[in-house]
Amino acid sequence: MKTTKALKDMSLAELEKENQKLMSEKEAIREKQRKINDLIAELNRKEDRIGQPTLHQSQARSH
Amino acid sequence: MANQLYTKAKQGLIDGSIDLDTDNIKAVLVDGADYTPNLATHDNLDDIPVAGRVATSGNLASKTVTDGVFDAADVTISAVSGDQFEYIVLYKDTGVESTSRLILLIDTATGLPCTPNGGDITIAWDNGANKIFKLS
Repeated sequence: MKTTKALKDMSLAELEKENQKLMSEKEAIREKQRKINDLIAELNRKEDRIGQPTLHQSQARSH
Repeated sequence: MANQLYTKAKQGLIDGSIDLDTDNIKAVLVDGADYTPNLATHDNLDDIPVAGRVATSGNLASKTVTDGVFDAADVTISAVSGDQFEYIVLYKDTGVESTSRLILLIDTATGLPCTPNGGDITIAWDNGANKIFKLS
């Protein structure tokens, strides 16, 4: 990460290059986060070994 | 939370004190206002206050334990009235509350929470791969 002063001293072309680099790093981090989320979801699926029943309720009988 | 086995049930399944296809297994409908589950420490039916037990089924029938998957016939509890319930708990009924081992806590099911209207309540077990539950 460059300091504010270093950024001020850079040319427009250098700034654009720096911006592209940061955007690329940001996308790489997002991709890693997606992979982590996928792994967590897969773990949760593997741990889920209990069925989910369904309740049915009939109307009370009238007397 | 999620549907989970009680830790002591896992112990019982391993040490043989719970035998799912020969023991009497029942389902009790439990009011969450009266019972706060502790899956790690609760072991027997007496951990669920009587006031929290809205209704109890008969013994589950047609039980199978094929390939580690526990299944049984759907069970109907007749003329249920009382408080809304948030949980279904399976337990091994010994006839003595302090030795009737809690097995499974279900808090996620279609129809839960449920407010009884005096009619019959049928618990239809999952027909997917896990049935009631699967040991893996």
